[in-house]
This record gives sequence, structure tokens and C-alpha cells, in this order.
Amino acid sequence: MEAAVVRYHRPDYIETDTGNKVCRKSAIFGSQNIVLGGKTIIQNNVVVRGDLRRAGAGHAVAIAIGKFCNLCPGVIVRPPYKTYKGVFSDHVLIEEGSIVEAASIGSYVHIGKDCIIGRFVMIKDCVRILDGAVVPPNTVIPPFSIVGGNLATVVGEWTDAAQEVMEDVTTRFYNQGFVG
Amino acid sequence: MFLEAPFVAYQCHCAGTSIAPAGGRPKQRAREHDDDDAGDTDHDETLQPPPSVPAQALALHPIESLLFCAECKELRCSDCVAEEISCYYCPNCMFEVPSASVKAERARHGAVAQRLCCGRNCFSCPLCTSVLSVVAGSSADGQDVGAAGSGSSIPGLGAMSSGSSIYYLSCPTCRWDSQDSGIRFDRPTGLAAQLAKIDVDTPQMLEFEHLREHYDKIARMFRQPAGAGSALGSLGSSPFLSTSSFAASVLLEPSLRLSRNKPDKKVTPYEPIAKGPSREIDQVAEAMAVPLEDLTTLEQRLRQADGMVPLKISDLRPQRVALRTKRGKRCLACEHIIVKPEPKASSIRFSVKMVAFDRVPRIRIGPDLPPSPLVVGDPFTVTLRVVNPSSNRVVVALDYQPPDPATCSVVFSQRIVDLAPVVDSWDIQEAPTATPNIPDDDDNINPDETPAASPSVALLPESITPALVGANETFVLATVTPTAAHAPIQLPIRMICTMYKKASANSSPSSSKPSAEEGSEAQEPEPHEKPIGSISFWAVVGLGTSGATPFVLDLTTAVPDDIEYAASDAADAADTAMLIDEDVRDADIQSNQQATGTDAPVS
Ligand SMILES: [Zn+2]
Ligand SMILES: [Zn+2]
Ligand SMILES: [Zn+2]
Ligand SMILES: [Zn+2]
Repeated sequence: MEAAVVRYHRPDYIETDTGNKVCRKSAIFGSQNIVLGGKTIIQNNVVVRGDLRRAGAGHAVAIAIGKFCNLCPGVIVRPPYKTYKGVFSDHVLIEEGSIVEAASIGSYVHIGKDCIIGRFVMIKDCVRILDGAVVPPNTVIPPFSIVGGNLATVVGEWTDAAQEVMEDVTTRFYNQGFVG
Repeated sequence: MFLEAPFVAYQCHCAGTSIAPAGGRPKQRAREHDDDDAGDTDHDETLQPPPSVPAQALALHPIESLLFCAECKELRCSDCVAEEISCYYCPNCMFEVPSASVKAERARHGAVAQRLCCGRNCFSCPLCTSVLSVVAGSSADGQDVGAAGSGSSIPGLGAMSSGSSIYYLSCPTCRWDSQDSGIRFDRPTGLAAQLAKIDVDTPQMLEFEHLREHYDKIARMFRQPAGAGSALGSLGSSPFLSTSSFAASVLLEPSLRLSRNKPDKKVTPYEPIAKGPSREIDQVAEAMAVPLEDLTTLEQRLRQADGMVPLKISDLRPQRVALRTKRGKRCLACEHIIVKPEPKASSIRFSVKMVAFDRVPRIRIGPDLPPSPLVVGDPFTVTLRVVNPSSNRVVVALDYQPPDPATCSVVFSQRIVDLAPVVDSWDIQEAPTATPNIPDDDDNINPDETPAASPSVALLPESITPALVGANETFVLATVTPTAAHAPIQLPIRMICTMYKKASANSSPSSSKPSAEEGSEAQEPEPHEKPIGSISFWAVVGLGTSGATPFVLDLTTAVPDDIEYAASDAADAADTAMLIDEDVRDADIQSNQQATGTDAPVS
């Protein structure tokens, strides 16, 4: 299934020096505790809770997101626990309405719509999570897995070309759809 | 494989041959057969089934799932590669199990080994399959002292108490607890071994030991022939290999009978020690006695490896996490390795990776997507983008072959496209001068002729801006008119790709993809430039399914008085008729005609 090109309304977005595009209609809490790697897109109604961390401990990273990530409308990202941070690597696509409390997400990960990624979940590189999957807490998802269901289990192996596919999807989305 | 339209799928070369019996369109195969000098001449075309859409869909693959054998210059699907295990690992703790210990495990557990499991601390919940955490606590007051980690590298939420001496497995998702099944551990490590010790006196274990003794005795009776020894050898010492004593005796008896050469010795039949409910009615009665909420589901019973079929939830045991493998792939035709992963559990690197996605040109649909629904007789234009992911310049000839029977008529804006090599991580912002390869009106399908380049941005549809086009892509506009109702509108296109060697040092990517003025010159292949290879394969562009045949109101026969009213009314009917069932539509039209007295012929 081919996707249509998404155009964005440039005034709605704040663009950082490193090319991150953050929608003004998103809810970014505790932005001093959030790191964006560059060319990452945060769309409307996304909630990123950088404020959920131990009070009074000073400045510490709660959510770190890599390059060419794309958080679609309605995604909610929370750190797994108050003393732990959520780390996303590069080329991560999280589709509409998913809730993510993972401890780490590797590169080239595609999380579908309306997923729930439980606390301390570790998603390795090149993982596809199907729409509506509920990944229980503490799960480790090995590379090249396709994960689906409630409760989520590994339902298949993702293609060996996962890295190329995700690179293509995320960079093309940034360069073409979000070029304004 | 079900592909949701719009899609572009590719036919593996094995489609229609012996490997995929239901694959392929014979017509295509025949033509491909004639044209291909690659020489897959050994398959029998008469064996191929008549063309049908489901069969064709089965043989089609998305480009991501295809591999490419550079030696054969052909696409390879998962059916036409041989797999080789390069490493075993636990998917939970990511520990790589050395192949030596896998071999040892197999030897110990016999040739028909049970699934290989993680021998460390990885267990999954028997109720919900989540990964279990090891928890330290005291069972007396049921108060948890803390979590001791979940078997993975994630730190637990609390520190392990040093004073506590009881550990158990707990499910963070459904709150199942191994104490429910009476399983506790003395140490928080080596749980697999501890569990094996606990399992020693289960009925299954005892039964297995009994069975072993029985057959050991028989084996001793028939010591000389090799048959009995090897049969027992393969049985090994696994307590779980035989799910029931009866199954084992059925398996073993024939081999013993074969090796029997002394008919005077008497083999006593096996007497199981476990006396389970013998009659089904007793089993039902036993099951009925268990409260419904304590009864296990079928899935839970099936998940219990080790041959136990527990009725009650309290009889469920934590399951060891099965190992996973990383596998290399080898072309079945030429035996060259086309995929070879690094034998490290968490690595995603490959020492060889020949995937079609970054080797062969592919077609993408968009940004202009086909309308939905597709209307018969109503032409629409869809943008096909031919993308070259390789580092070679590629000339692609798009050879459209209408399906038989034809479901649509198609006009392509161009049939031959010349694609520059991919520029590494090209970036619009840094290379704003990237000019699109503009479709021209050359309808020539001869691949030997170079396209007459006439770049003009005006030819592009409004939705395409130069920024959308990479240097390695070209647009082809396809104007499609569906001609058949209720038919999948698919365009089978044979892609004949001729590769030219990498751009030389003096022609930088920017000059190989010049602005409009220099375009015509640069698109001509250099006379001395020799193709380094060519491949051809079938792509199928799925645009959706055509709707019902629409009605055309013939105004000449309309009653003059009511003409305006009738026209709008019939047009409404025609609009809705596309979405509704044909019977309903006919009834609708009839009533419509009666009401307005208008003749609305069905075209
Ligand atoms: Zn194949
Ligand atoms: Zn393990
Ligand atoms: Zn559970
Ligand atoms: Zn080959």
C-alpha cells in the first residue's frame, strides 16, 4: 500500500537548527529533559512527557529521540519510570495514537497505529510492531521481528531489507512530505 | 498474499515454475521465456494452470520481501532460497547459544529434539506468554521484598533483599505467580536447572523413567542387532520427548519388530504406571469438577511444551523461552550466498545482503493516487515513479502487457526512463537544484533507443514539485480507463533494466542530473558506455477494483416537460448505484423510471 504525500502547514511547526520540526499543537512537557537528534518530526497532538522524572534531581534527560524519527498525531511518549529514560534511536516511525513507555527503541523500528508499548520494553533494531499491538512490560523484542496482537507476541520475521525500507520511508517523509 | 490497493508487487522468477505451482500468468511466462536469454528453460509450461487473479496474487511479492541473486540476475523470493542457521540465541536475554551446546542438547535429547530453549533464567507466563520476572520474597506473609530483575538486562524496580531465601517467577502482566503452581526457587540464578530438578518427580518424569527401563530391558534382549540400539540412542534421556507412553511404544515397536531375529524371546507389553482416567466420560467428569475460572484454555494447554495437558490453572508450569535463529540465505539455482547475517544476536549487520530493495529499480505510486472507487469508462491519471536504488545508472524500459481479458486501457507518458545512480542520503535542502526527470511524450517501447528528452516542468501534474523528485527517480504518468466492471484494475509491466557502470569521477551527481538546459545532452548515454548487465522482471501495479458500470442518461429520449428534474434524479441514481448492489440498483432504477417516465438506458 502506497501512502499519499503529506503536506504540512509550515506556520504550525517550529523548526530547530538541527532540522527538527515540532508542531505547535503538540504537548511537550519538560522540554529541557528532552533531546531530539535532528530531522525528527513531532506532529500535532503528540504528547512527550519529559517532565516525568524524579523531582528536585536537577536537569537530566528523560526522553532521547534520534534522527529521522517521526511521531504521528496523537502519539504519547513517556519515560518508563522516574529514574529511567526512554531512548529512541534513528529512523523510528510511530503511527497515530500509540502510547510508548519503552526503555529503548532501536533504529529502523516501525510502530503501527494504536499500539501500547509497556514499561521497560526494549525494542531492538529493525522491528515492526503491527497496528493495535499491546506489548507487555519488560518484553525484549529481538531484531527482525514482526510483533502483533494483544498481548503482543512475535508473529513473524521482518524482511532482511528492513533497514533500507525504514531509511527510505523516514528520510523520504522528511524530505518530500515535509519540505513545505 | 493479500495486497491492498494501490500496490506495486513483483513476480519472483520462480513463479509459475515447479516451486510455485499456482503462480504466474502463462502468457507472461511464455513471453518472458522467449525473451529471456538467462536460460530458465527447464520448466514445463504445459503444467501451468490457467491464469486467475488469486493465483497471480499468490505469486506476487512486495519489493521489500524479495532478494536478488547477482549471479543469476534474478529476483529471489523466500521459496527459492535455502536457509542456513548462522546462530542461535535467546530472544529474551539475547544470549547467543554456541552451536556446540546446541549440538550437545540435540544429542542429549535425541534427533526428534524438543524445541531448544534458553537454559538461563528466561521463562514465559503459562497464562499470557509475557516474560516472567524473578521475584524475591517470603511466601509466608505473601509480601514481596523486591524484584530481582526480569531475566533481561532491564534493572528491576527494587533491590533484592539479601535476607530472603525464596524466589519465584511472577508475571508483570497478568499477575500469575509460580507459587500458585507450587514452584519456588532457592537461588535467583540457574532457574532452568532448578526447575528441571523440581520436575524430577512429576508423573511425566516417572512415567518416562519407567518407559526407559522397560525398553532398556528389551534392548538388552536384542543386543546384537543395530536397530534396537540406535532406536534407543535416538530416544536419549529426554523426559519430555515422549508426550505419552503410548505414543512412544507405538514409535518404538516397529523398529524392534524389524530387528527381531530371535523369535523365541518374548517381549512383554508395556504397563504404564500412571493410571489416568481411562474412559472419556471420566475425563469429562474430572473436567466438570474444576470450576470454570480455574480451567485452562486450549491455547494455554497447547503452549505447555513437555507434553503436559493440565486441566487446572494451578497445574500450569512456567515455560522456557524457545531459542531463535539468525539465518543466511543461499540461492537455490546457483548456490551463491545472497544473505549472510553477522552471527551476533543483537547485530543487524550483514556480511552479505543482496536485497531487491536496494539493487533493482522499483515502481512507486504517487503522489497522485488512483481514485476510489474506480469508475468504468472514466479515465484517471496515476503517477508512477520509477526509482533507481542502485549506484549504477539504469535505463528501464516499461513493457506493458495488457492482461487477458483486458480490464482497462492504459496510455503511458513514456515507456523508457533513464535513471541516475542514487545519491547517498540526498537532501532537498542541501541540493535544491535537483531537477526532475520529466516525462516526455515518447511512446516508443524499443529499449535500444534512447528517450528523446524534452524536459518541461509544465508537463508535471500540479501535485508534483521538483522538490519531490530525487535525481534517481522519474515520473511516468499512466492514464488508465477501466473497461470492465467489478474487475481488479492491475497493470502488468515487464521492467527491462539495463545497468551502466558507475558514473566516472568527472561526472559528479550534480552534472549527471543537470538543469533543464543541459538535460537533453546529459540524458544521451555516452557512445562508449557499455551496459554492464541487464535484468528483467514483472511488476504488477494494482490500482484498485472497478465499480459497477455506470449509467449514462440519454437526454434525447427524455420527456421534455420533466427533463431537468429527470436528469438530476437519474444522475443521483447513477451516483449511488456505484456503491450499491446491482439488484438494488435495478429496482431503484425501475422505480425511478416509473416515477419520472424517463428512459435511463444502461450503458
Ligand atoms: Zn521465488
Ligand atoms: Zn534467555
Ligand atoms: Zn501472565
Ligand atoms: Zn543465483
